[in-house]
Amino acid sequence: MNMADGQHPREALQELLDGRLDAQASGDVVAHIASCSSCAGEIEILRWTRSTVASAFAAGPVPESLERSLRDALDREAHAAPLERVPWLTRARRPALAVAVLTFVILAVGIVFMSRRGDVPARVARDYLAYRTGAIDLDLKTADVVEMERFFARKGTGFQSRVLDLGMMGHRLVGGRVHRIRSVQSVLFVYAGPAGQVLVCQMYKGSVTDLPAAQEIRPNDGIEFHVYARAGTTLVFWQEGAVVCVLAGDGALEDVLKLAFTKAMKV
Amino acid sequence: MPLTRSLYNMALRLTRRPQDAADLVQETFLRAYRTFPNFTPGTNAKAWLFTILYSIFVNAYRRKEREPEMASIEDLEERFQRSIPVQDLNAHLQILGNLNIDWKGSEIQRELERLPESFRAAVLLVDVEDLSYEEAAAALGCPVGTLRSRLFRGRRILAVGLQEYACKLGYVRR
Repeated sequence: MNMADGQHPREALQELLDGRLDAQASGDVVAHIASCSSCAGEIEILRWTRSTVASAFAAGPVPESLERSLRDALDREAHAAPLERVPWLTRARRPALAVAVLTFVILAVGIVFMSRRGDVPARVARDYLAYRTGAIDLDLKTADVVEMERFFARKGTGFQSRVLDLGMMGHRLVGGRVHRIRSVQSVLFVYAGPAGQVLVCQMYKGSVTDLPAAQEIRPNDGIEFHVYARAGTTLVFWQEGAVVCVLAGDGALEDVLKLAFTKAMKV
Repeated sequence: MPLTRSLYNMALRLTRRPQDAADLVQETFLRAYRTFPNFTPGTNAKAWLFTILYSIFVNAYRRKEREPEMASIEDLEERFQRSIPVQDLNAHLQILGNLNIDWKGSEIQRELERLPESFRAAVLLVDVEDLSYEEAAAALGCPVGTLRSRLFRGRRILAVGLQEYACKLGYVRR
């Protein structure tokens, strides 16, 4: 990315914010922001607007009649239309059509779930890179785990977040934010290691069974740790009651796992 | 049915009328049912359904849609160009952010409704529905570069609108 001509890379700021730049381009834009107050302000505006839009326009309830009318419409589609169009389709074959509708619904549900499952580790890796490159910021900067938990509780995330003190492992809390993994609300908090390592932990309501097949599952102390590698980031997922926890880092797998083992709690 | 909430949300933002939105969602599922063999397993089903929804909207609903207060592209570009200096705007939005305003049903809704439909759809698909640029561009039938530009301008215009709202409420001064 060439920024030598003194131009403000307006749309590149947006791409940085949306986690679309590779490491080299991210580095170039971050370096530019560090020396350009206009672009530093611009990315804050985009970040604020994006987050306000996401919460202000989130999907609300659907009219009760809609689900029912959808099923009725699909049922009619399967029964009436083919009978009119295709003479050989007799009443005897209607049960087969009902099965076809049901199959469509099941396949649609399955494909949607598969789509969601396939995206989560990649999305968490993007979040990790976005934090590292400055594209996402923390709502609260604190090394105090109690203050961090109180902050999340005030924000009403709908589940009990657990911010563990990893001081004995040489990692201190940096801060956190209320975040989203795709459309699901999460809490995100960051630890800094003694040699400058950065670990990003996220927790959200869900199930590890919705994740794609892990590259490795490592059991420890009665908990299964699902390991993924995405975009140079190691991701370790595990289940705590109704909540999924994930620890993301760019260090060695065993180092990230060791911290996950420390943080995980059997519920 | 999966994704009904997301599809209805998008349909409502596009048509602005609950009955039209419900009809649009129903037509989307029927079209998906009829063309299900065209769906490529492994691709994003959500993006596929949004592609169908937007296509039906453009062909069947947009023509009859009333858009009395729609801002013209030229007006928006002018607002965009003469918008408040970045540093001021940033400071003003931070003030708004700290007020913990519940934006649902408020000024931002009206700002979104005033955006041209292509800008509005880009913002909704990426920021609310979390589609990638490529998926959103495919759904809207435009190149990724166009989507990127609409998204940038849409976000920026919304930000300017919020800043003007802050001025109107007296939270900040020009």
